[in-house]
This record gives sequence, C-alpha cells and structure tokens, in this order.
Amino acid sequence: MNKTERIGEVVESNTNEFVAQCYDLYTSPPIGTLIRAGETETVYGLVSYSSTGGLDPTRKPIPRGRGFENEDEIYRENPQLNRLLNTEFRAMSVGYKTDSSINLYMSPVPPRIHSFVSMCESDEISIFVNSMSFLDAILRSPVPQADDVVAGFIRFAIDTFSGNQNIRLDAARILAKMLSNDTRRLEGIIRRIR
Amino acid sequence: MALDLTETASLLDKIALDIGNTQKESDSRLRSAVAMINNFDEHQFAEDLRNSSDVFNWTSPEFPVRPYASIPPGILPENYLVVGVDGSHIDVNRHIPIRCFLINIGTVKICYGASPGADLSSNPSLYFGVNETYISDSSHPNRAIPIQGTILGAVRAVKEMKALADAIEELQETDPYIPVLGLIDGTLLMLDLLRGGIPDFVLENILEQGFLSELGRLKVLSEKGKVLIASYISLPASTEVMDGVRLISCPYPVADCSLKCGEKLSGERPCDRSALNLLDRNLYSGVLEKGHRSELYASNSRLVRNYYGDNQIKFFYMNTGDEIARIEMPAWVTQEQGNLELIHSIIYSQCRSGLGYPTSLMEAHEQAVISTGDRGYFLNLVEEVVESQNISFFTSRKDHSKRVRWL
Repeated sequence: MNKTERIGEVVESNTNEFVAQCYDLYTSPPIGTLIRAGETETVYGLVSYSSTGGLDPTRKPIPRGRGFENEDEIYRENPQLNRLLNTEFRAMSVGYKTDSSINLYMSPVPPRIHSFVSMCESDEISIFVNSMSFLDAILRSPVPQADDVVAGFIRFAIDTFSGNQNIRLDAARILAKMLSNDTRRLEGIIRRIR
Repeated sequence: MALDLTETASLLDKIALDIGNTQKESDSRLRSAVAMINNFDEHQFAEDLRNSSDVFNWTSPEFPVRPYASIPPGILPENYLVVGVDGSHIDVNRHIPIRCFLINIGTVKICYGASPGADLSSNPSLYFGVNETYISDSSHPNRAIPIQGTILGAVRAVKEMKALADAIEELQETDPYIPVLGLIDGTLLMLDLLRGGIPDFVLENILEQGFLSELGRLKVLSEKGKVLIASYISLPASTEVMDGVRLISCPYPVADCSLKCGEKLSGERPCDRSALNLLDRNLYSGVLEKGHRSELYASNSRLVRNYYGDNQIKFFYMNTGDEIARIEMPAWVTQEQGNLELIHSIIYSQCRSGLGYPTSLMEAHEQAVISTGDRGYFLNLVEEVVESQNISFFTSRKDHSKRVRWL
C-alpha cells in the first residue's frame, strides 16, 4: 500500500467516527493507522476496527473450501466473491485540517459520505507523532479495543519513520503520564509496543 | 384468522396417506420405464415412430442412440467465461392510474482461469404508454394485445436473451478466443405462447422478431468465436422422454391412441404401466450417476417444428449431484465437436461451486430480483410522479382496502 494511496470511501459518518468501505477486498489499514478522509474538509482518523463480510447483509458466506488445497483456490474458483464481499473499517476522529494547520482534536463536522479515504503523508503523520496528546481522548473513549488502537498507532509511527526508537520512548513517557493511576493498563500497552 | 391451519393440517394428512399408497405403484412404473430405456432399440423406435406419427397422441422427442447412457463430465478448459442472465418484473397493476410494467435484467460475467474476475450488473427498464405496453398487429393496427401476465413473461424472456447477446458481443470485442458459455434460467421453449387465445401476430412479434432473432444474433457471434448457449432448468417437470417411453411400451403394432385407448381412463392404458405420473427427471434419477449426463435429445414439439428453424432445441438431462436438471440448447451449438462436452463440464462445475445450482445464474438472479420492499417503493415512486404532475393518484377500493386493512 502506497503511503498516500486512496483506499476507499466514507459510507457512514458522525462526529466521533466514520466508516469507510475499501475499494478492494482485505485492504483495510491495520488498527492504529492514521488515515485522512475528504479532499477539502479533511478529517483525520485512527483506524479502530475493521471487518469483512457479505455486501448483502441477508446473504451469509458459507464454507467453500472442502476439496481445495489452499484458501487462494477458493477465490480463484469463485471470482464473484471479490464482488460480493467487502471490507470496511472504522476510524475514530482525531483531528482535522484548516487552511493553515492541522488541529489535533475531534473535527466539529464529520466527513461527507463518499469522501475519499487515503493513507497520510509522512509530514502529516509527524504532526500527530510530535504531539501525542490526542491519544488521551482515545484512552478515555468507551471503545473496548482503545489500548490496541493506541499501541497500533505507536507501532505505525515507528514503522513510518524507519524504526525511530525515540518515538517509542516518547510515547512511553506520554502514556505513563496519561495512565499514572492505572499501571496495569500502562504495562499492557507498553507490552504491545516493545 | 385468515386460514384455518387446523383444518388445513387435516387436509394435508390426506395427501400424506395418498402419497404413501401410490409410492409403491410409482416405483414399479419407474422400474419398468428404466428397463424400457435400458433395452432401447433405435431401429424399432424409429419404425414405431414412423408407423404411428399421425395417430400417436404424445410428443416424443427424437431419441439418441443410447438413451440409457450415463456420460461423465470432461475436463474443464484452462480459461473460460460464463455469462449468466436472469430477469424479474413488476407486472401491470390495474388498480393504479398508470399502465406500466418494469423489467429488471441481472447479468453476471465470470472469468475463470489465469485472470479470474467477475462483473455483476442489473439493468431496469420501464415500459409505459400504449406503444410500449401493447403488441399491435401491423396489418390490422386496431388489433392489439396488452402485455401482461403470460405475455409479459415471454417479453421478459426476449429481454433476457437480448441481454445475453449484448453481454457476449461486448466480451467478444475484448477477447474473441476465450470460450464463453451463455446461460439462461428456464426453458428455451416458449410453450406458453401456444396457449389458446394468443394470436399469431403476438407469436410473430415475441418469438420470431424477438426471441429467435436474438438467438440468431448469438449464432452469428458463435461463428466469430467459441460461443456456447444453454439454458438450465432446475427440477424440470418435462415428460417428453416419458412420452417416448409410452411409445416403446405400447403393445399395439401401430400406436393409435384414439383407436386403441380412446375409451380408456388414465391409468388403464397399457403405456400407463411404465409412464403414468412419471417425469423425465424421475426416469433419469435411476439412470445417471453423479455429474453424468444423458445423450442428446431433440425436441419435437409443434412450436419448435413450426417456428424455431435453425434454432431447433436439443436437450440432455444431467445429475448435478443434488438433482436431475435439464439443459437445453439450440441445435447449432451442438454441431461443433467438443461443444457438448464443454457445456456439460462447465455447468457441472458451476453447480458444484453454487451448491447444486449454477453460480452464474444464482448471482444473476440476485442482481435481478425485485424484493417486496422494492415493489412497494416502486409503487410509491409512481404515485409521486403522478402527483408531481398535479394528477390525483387513485387506486381501486379493493386495493385500498387491502393496503389499509382497517377494523
């Protein structure tokens, strides 16, 4: 996946989060990836959940692999599956762009339906990496996988900047402040970013 | 309560009793029919058919040399395409102020092999006004038949065949060499049009200028590339082969039905002992192994003889593993060696991937189907359009009472 590749479109949207449908099956960015939605009124989101299922909710996928040597063969022998299944991902709103800057807090308006969703440029990512205070909102959110989203973002940032270990140390320091009264939770996240 | 289920259940008990009583007799007839087929004598059958051609009241197809044969599927080609087409429609609603109908055609193109892929689409068409909702007699313009019910079903079959020809024509422009199987759901024999009361100009319009013209188009396409056309009939209710079994089992030198059995009731005729209430699929369930097909029959119906010309319909039965299906095709498809084997192997593969029903037709149906909700929404849209023209949308009181259901 290229850094700024367009990966899908927004199909559900509210101020807290938005849902994007991928153009291609199984191409959801990993949890914690920073993505952007909208060409003009850009909203930034952290991927918090992804799923793949039937495009038509009334049709349930059934096992098809009996007799096949591997999973790829199922898709090769049933090319229509790529048109009947779809991958969606959910992203928590963590910032938005104005004319002059990027604000690292929730956008006051949600992205429009059909907004293009793309991977972010490294300079956009570095703004979020340099001020990880937005992670506090995620840690306080009622999302059950919030800790995995936070750990995922830190791993995503380290990968983006070629394994820069300072990011890990900075993140650990910031998280220690945010979770000073919950060391078990802090340990859990640190364990995920080692 | 609308339906007294207690009473209905007791009525169904009578059916269960009747089925139990008749099953043994049916099994015995089936054994007799299978024996007739297993001992089939091609020359004797041809002679019997010739001797009784004018007086045998059943419509036997042209039999193959070995109707008892159970032929296994061949090897699938490395690369091939399957185009499935199916349709659905909303019939004319006489309770609303606009005379219109809607046909939705689902088309699915699936490419198998080195570059697998699929394209799924649906295409709705709305027909309204006198010109589009009536078929007129060109020689007597004041004679016209409304398109609805059975006739609309036939018009839809024409649209399905046209969609198939369009799809295959488009595919040929990109790759003329890859084999393409075009599949239609249901029979190629438009026998409904032979029902009484349907005038010749309707037959000419729907069958000759429509359905057969599109089949002719496909024939031309088949001359440019490997194009195979077939229709798939799930759980077929045909009795054509059984009509032939009646001829084989007839004990009289000439099978003159009126002369020899005209006074006899159904069940008392000698041929009933091998054929009564049996369908072709019952016969072939005792003949065909899983995945195998029968040899090829040629339909001998009056419709085919009088109208189909080059598009004479041939058919075989096939054990898909889940049921006995009937596969029909125009005769020109079977002329080139290997085509029949290709149709057989591709359809069997389609049935396996579609859990007993061809994948391409299942997906075409999913594209074409108009749900109850969509039908209601369509009616609302019609209402909106009418009212936007400042015309009051009225409906019959009967329709109104069904929709409102007041107490």
